[in-house]
Amino acid sequence: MAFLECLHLTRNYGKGAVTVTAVQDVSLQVEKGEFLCLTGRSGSGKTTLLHLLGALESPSTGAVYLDGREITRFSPRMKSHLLRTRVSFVFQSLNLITSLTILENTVLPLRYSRVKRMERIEKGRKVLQEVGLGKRLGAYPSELSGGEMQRVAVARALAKCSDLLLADEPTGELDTATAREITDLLLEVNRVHGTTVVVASHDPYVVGKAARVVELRDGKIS
Amino acid sequence: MEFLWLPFRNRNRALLTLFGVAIGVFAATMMGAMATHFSRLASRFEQSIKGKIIIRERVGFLSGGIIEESRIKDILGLPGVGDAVGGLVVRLHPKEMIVLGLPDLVVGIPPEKISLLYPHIPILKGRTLRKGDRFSCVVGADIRNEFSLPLSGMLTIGDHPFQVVGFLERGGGQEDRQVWIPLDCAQEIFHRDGLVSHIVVLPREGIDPEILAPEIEKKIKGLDAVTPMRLSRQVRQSIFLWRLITLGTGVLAVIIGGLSLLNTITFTVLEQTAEIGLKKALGASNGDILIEIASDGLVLSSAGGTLGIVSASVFVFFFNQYLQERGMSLFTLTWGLVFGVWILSVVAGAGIALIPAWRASHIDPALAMRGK
Ligand SMILES: Nc1ncnc2c1ncn2[C@@H]1O[C@H](COP(=O)(O)OP(=O)(O)OP(=O)(O)O)[C@@H](O)[C@H]1O
Ligand SMILES: [Mg+2]
Repeated sequence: MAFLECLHLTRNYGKGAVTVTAVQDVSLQVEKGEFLCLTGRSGSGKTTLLHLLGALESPSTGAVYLDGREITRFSPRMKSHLLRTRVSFVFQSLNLITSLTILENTVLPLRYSRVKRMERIEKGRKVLQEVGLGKRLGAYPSELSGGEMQRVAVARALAKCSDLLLADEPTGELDTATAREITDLLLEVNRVHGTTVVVASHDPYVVGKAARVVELRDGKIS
Repeated sequence: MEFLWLPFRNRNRALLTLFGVAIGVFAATMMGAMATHFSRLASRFEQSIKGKIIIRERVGFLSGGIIEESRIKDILGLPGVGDAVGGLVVRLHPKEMIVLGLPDLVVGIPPEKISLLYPHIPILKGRTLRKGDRFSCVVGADIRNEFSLPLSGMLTIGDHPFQVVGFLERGGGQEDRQVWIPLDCAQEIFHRDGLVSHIVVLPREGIDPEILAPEIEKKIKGLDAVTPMRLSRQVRQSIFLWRLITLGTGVLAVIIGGLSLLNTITFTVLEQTAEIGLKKALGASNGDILIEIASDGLVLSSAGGTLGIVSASVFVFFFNQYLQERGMSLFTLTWGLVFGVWILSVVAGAGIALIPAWRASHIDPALAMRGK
């Protein structure tokens, strides 16, 4: 069985006549250490599929397996644990808590894992250094550029040593040059740490760099 | 320790809430102190009439009722009666119309009988009345303050100067507002020769006053023999309204403080929906979120509660001094009350915060991350 696998995944929203099928009968295998790009037009179901793969949402039917375990059947507690330790999301925006410094933001999941404060700080320093923000530990999100904020989100994924990184249009709100920087950072994380990365994007640069591209059309793989 | 300052992310809002809670707790403490004062007054009174029967005319008790002194002898002759002491009670300021709490009273007592009524005479300074004293008085704590009386000073009662021979200890009861003078003097200056306003009957050892009183009533015409139980019920009834008002106001104050807290926490949760969703997407469990939000409420309510109680204590301290200088007392602040109100504000605060906290913990991270 592949590292990440989903079988006949369907996700409906709403009830009765107004039901929207955002993802329809999607089966997909992702090997460990892969860099996969999900692409497709707006409304094609990329965000929904990404949420399903990371157990942030539950499917209407079908199952998701991570390392052979059916995470779609996890209890809420186990899902929280999964999100704290193994699976990381990078969202298009709103990635950071505005009242926390970037160091605190980076190690927030470790706080929920009850990791000791000193250990958290040390870890946070290290990963922020790695994404090039080693000198801005005490800064607040409002003092950062869009690209820097995305770097913090990537650093946060590194801090908890997650082996699956799910990025939903991480370059959507960035200019071309910065978007490239972030894409390169994700590629580097994938290469250096062996983190499995699934990026939802229609940015041609990301699509071009990804080892494998899967296109969604009306919730189905085409 | 960071949870302590987290509620203050929005400083103005946090401070407003804190003051809202503080004002509520302040008012609740004041009302509690007033209620404590009245119930202490009542229980001191009950203490003082314990085991005694009060004989009075069918009309009033504190003033107005008149009994001929000769009837004491009749009562002393009844079986079961150990002793009987007549007293004449007159208001110190007869022209005063409105009185907050109890009025100041002049009590005429036969000096040789004081030790019967008060086994331990609560003398703070000086001495008690003696047989043969004329125009001497013993003064309660509130009256002493009201007139700033020194020992051996003079107090005018019914146009006659009396010399202060002793001060009573402050007991929190009606004695604080009394002046004791010899009974014969009282009868003379108030023109009540041979008359008393009430008679205190002390039953013999082992005789239950509740049983003796109806027996006395049967044998003496036109007089009431009131038992301690009946008297204390009357007292409880007369302070009931006060207690209801104070208690009601206190509860209202707590509710207002609580609503202010509920409003703030609810608003904070609404405002932070996206951030709470993000936290959950980062692996915060429902319990983590619940504790985070509820502890915000707890920090605000305990800080507000502490501020309210401290300021109420300071206020009561100075206001009591002010009142005492004018011979009044209105508040009794006990440690029990202070701790009780504090615990109540903290527990209520946490409880109130649990409502929005529970809602917050059930925010759907997937929806929140879509900006919905
Ligand atoms: N909570 C919801 N309720 C109803 N319909 C929804 C909900 N969330 C998503 N949808 C619908 O599901 C479909 C897929 O949405 P999704 O967000 O997955 O698309 P997407 O590919 O990520 O689009 P975009 O590129 O604009 O982000 C859309 O038609 C959308 O309207
Ligand atoms: Mg999307």
